[in-house]
Amino acid sequence: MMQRQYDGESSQNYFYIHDCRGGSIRLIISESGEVVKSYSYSPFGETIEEGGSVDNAFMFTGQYYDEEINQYYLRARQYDPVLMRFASRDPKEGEYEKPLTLHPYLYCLNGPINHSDPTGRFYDTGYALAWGAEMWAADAAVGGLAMAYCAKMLMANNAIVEATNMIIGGMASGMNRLVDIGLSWYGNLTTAMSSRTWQKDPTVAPGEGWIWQGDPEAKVGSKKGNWVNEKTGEQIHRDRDHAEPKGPHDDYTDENGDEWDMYPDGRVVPKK
Amino acid sequence: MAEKVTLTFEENKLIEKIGKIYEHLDNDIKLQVMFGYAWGNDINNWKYCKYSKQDLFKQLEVAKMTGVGVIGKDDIWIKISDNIEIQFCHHGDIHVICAKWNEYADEIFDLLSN
Repeated sequence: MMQRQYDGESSQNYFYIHDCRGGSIRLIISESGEVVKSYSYSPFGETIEEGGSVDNAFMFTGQYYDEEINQYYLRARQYDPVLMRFASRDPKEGEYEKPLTLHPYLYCLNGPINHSDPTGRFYDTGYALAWGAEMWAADAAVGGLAMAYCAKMLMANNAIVEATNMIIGGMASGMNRLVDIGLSWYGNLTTAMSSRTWQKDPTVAPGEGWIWQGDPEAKVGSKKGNWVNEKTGEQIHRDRDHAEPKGPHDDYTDENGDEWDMYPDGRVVPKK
Repeated sequence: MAEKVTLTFEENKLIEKIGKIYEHLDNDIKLQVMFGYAWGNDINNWKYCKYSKQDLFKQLEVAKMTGVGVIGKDDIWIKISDNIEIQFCHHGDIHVICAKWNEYADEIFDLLSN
């Protein structure tokens, strides 16, 4: 994506902003085609290289970087890209069936390549979509403000015209974000579908439509039986007291027939 | 409940181990066998049934040919006494499970480990 920014300070130059996967700002280019700013980032957003002298505060995933404290403002929380963790606890409670969501400081459930977290409280798929719709409108305003910031507050005579341009740019940014959120949501959904995670209580059905099949004399949730979803064909076998080195685990067969081992620490590993 | 687990074995070794159990007890004995995870849904519906060695080998062969399952990838539970049960695990290892571990359990475990 490319946006045009106006440097309203004195020179009245326009700049073109190039972002990459996830909306991170990689290049800022002058009207003459000269690269005046460049960035590269680690997967978790630490700035590895930065070149050029133009002021810009919007960097990793297009979010505002507060250089005084070296953290990103992600609305609900500040994010530290060097520590790869949020600076405060997740305001949203996690889900026991998705162990990584229980960690209060993780960024993008440790998966920043495929996900972004512009709200500081992501991995709520329903919320993500609603958020995306909200942000389309909100980004129109925020994007406009962001560009105004980059332009160091437009004060020129043609302020209204330029401000209009900024808001249009902001709307484009909002649309882009909406698409990003949609893709991100889809990414989370497909992850969840292919990697059901550890469930604390083996005696509880994994969800609606699951039935227990097993030795009638054995306990529900024991290793002499399994949970079956007849509709999807999924199966889960609780093998909670298996000796080391394999250790406690669940065997999961997904709806495609692919098999996985699920461990108490949240790992979901494809079977060989 | 006490339990010991062997190393993992290939399919043919596991079949050999089943043969050893029958030979150790009595070649003509019928043992209580349950097909567990994940072929218990397809064979005997998770119920213990009495199997002679020949019948069990035949059942294993049919299950493999029809794609229902394979020993070492699916569980088989064999009760050899009131105290001892053997699980041929879907991970390829063998579990000897006892209400109370004793010398006889050691003997069975050694038989299956070597």
